Amino acid sequence: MADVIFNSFKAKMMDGSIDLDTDTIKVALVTSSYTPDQDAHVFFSSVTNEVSGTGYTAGGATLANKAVTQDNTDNEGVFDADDVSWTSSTITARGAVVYKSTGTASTSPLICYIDFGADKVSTNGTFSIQWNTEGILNLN
Amino acid sequence: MEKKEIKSLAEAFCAKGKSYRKSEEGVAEFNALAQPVQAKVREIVEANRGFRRVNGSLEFTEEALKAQIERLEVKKADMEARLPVLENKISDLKDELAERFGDNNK
Repeated sequence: MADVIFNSFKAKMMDGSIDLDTDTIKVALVTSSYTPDQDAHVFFSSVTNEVSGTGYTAGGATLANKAVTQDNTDNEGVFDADDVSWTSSTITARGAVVYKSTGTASTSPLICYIDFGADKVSTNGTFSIQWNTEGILNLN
Repeated sequence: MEKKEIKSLAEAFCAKGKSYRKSEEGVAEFNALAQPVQAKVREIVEANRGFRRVNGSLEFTEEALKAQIERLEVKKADMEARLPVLENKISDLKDELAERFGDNNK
């Protein structure tokens, strides 16, 4: 499974209904049993097999210190944020779903799915996502 | 590994350009780099966006912070100006719906 940018997000970004500056953006962890559907998965309520475990709260974590920046060296726009971690956690996750949280799963639009490439595990330790050097989202 | 060598290796990797960095080959090369070199690459790339990452948190330069504030001020004014335009657009679409399909939900 590769990374996915949900089609609905592409449209919502264009029409301005998702605003990465002002919206609450969250990241949730999912197991290998979740298969993202780029076309049909629109809201967080479509996401199945979210991880459960010690130190993890359903719905995931809110991205802090979000930044939309312009990179004139690489000629791109980049969305980034602080790395995310779940301390004292026991988690097994295969990927992460980034979404706009409205507080209600059925109205929280999906943004992207990030495939970790393999199951990542924490056992009574810290589970961290270190965002890619190229940012969480990168438009070039 | 000496700092000078770390910097040199990171700069050499970055010099190959973003297309290479994002290619399968580039990602594989990045993953094979020593941890301090990877961190330096990240530092170089993120500096182009006006920030560095300190213990996982973004830390903007003074110049970038000012630019962000200015951008958001402009955006705020722009958003306020958009509301009436949006209302007009909704109204126009409702008119068209009523005109062409006889919808009375105006």
